[in-house]
Parts: sequence; C-alpha cells; structure tokens
Amino acid sequence: MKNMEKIKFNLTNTAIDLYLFDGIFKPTGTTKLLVDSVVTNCNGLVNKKILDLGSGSGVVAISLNKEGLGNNNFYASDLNDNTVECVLHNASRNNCKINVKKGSLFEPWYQEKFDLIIDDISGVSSEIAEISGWFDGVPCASGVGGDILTNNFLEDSVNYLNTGGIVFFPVISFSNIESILSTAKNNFDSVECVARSDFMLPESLKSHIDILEKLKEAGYITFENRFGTIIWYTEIYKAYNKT
Amino acid sequence: MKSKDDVISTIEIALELEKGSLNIDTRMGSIEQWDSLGHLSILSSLDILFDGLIGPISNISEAQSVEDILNILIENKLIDS
Repeated sequence: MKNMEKIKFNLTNTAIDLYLFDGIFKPTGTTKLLVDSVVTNCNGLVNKKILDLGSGSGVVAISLNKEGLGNNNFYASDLNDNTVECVLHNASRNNCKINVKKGSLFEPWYQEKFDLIIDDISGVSSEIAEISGWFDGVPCASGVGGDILTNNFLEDSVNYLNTGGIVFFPVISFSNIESILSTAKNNFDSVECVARSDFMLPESLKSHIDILEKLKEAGYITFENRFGTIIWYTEIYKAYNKT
Repeated sequence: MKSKDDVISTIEIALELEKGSLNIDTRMGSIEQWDSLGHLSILSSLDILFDGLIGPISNISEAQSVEDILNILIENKLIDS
C-alpha cells in the first residue's frame, strides 16, 4: 500500500476527494483559479481532447469532468514516479476516465495534438519554492525567475495544439511575469488575462521577507506591500492562434 | 465619519454573508468564508469604504476578529469608539 494523504478539493457546487501519493503536489489556490477559469471559458465543449499538463493528482482533469466538461477526452501527465498510479486511483474513485502518462512537459505526447491544454506546472521562483514548503519534495526546476518551465511550455505547446486549440496557463507574481508574457505573445496571436486572485503572504514565508525583497529588487518577482503584509497574485491567461 | 455598523456590514458583504450574520465577537476561522482569502477580501473592501486609508495600516492584516478590526479603525481615527 502506497503512502497517501486524503484531501478535499472544493469546486463551485461540490467537492472532490483526492489522494496524494508520495511526492505528488498538493493543489493550491492557483489550481482552483485555473479550474474555474477553464470552466467559465470553455462551457459546452464536447468530444475534444483536453490535456492536464503537470497534473499532480489529476485534480484539474477530474474537476473539469465534474464541472460540466465530462463529455470530452482527458489526458494527463507529470514527471513524478507516482503520477500514473495516483491519477488512475483518483480518476477511478471519482468515476472519470483519464489517459495518463509519466514524463516532463510534452515528452510523453510525441505527435499527439490537443484542443485544450491546461498548464499547472511549477511557476514560481525556485528560491521561493525552496523556502515556502509548497513543494515539499516535489521538484521545481523553474529557475530563479520561475519562468523556465512555463516558457518551455508556451514555446512547445503550439506544436501540440489542433487548429483552433487553446492553452490556459497561470502567471504567478512570484515569478518573472514580463518574461512569461513576452514568450506567450511571441507564440500566440491572442493572450488574454481571464482571472486574477490576490493572496496574503503565507506564514511559511513571513520569516523570509528579506529574500522576497531581494528577488523583487532584482526584477525576478512582483508584489505589493499593503495592510502591513505582502500581497501577491495569480493571473490565469488564455492563449490561442487565430489560424 | 463611517460607523461600526458600516464596517460590520462591509465585512458581511465581503464574505458574502447575510446581513446580521456577524457580531463584534466573530473571529476569523469561526465561519467557513473567513479564511485567508476572505480576510483579504475584507481588507480590500474596507480599503474601498475608507477611500484607500486601510492599505497603509501596518497591523490590520494581523486582526483576528471583528472586534480587532474595529479597534484598529478606532486607533487610526477612522471610526468613533
């Protein structure tokens, strides 16, 4: 029996139970915002191929299944050794069908094309990942600007999209926003912010404000000082090519 | 000048609660909606109510209850005691 932690992930009208196997990333507020954005913007999608990239527990694919997009074909991948087993376990318990593979970014999907690709890979500065506790043993090779993996995703994703396909990706202010949005605009005709949520600095980072200030000073991250604390944000972007 | 009732009403709206749901003793975490996201929603709503005067208050994010918030607003002369 694998070590696993049971969590509840709240959706708009219901909640799903998920099991996190060793090394599988715990869903965050960014994950919730991502799910809500896709549901709002892709209402009525049927018989399409939807890829949950950086799937962790399969939370995005399973949530979309439960939030009205169940009549589509779901695919998921992540690089953790427990990914396949964990996603299949959660999919089965939530009565969903997901084709899941292990691998980094698009490596498992050679010559495949999708209609919708949702990026939930690591997108914060690796220095923050290290001190925040958010990643707890999960690899975060996003670089000091937190932009390496997201930029790789944006550059590669155009090769894995069907005509008219759409990508959704989060941009977190604890990363180099300018670099990520520049890469997005270089690869897509349309790049649109569809949701934003502000967050207060979590307890785990309150003793590391000096590091945050240093990263901000160097232009790697962005935040505001308000209400006597640090306010950071996540924005969800939708991008596509017109032809 | 705004009143304590204006503040409590703003907090209720920020947390999407019915009018009369909160009282001075209500604490963060005692109701489902008042988590860290709800807390930020309260502070942002109060900042609008007080025309941007809440953002610079250095200890308001530490408030843990309706009473704490009211006391900080009184200390900063934004409402009467």
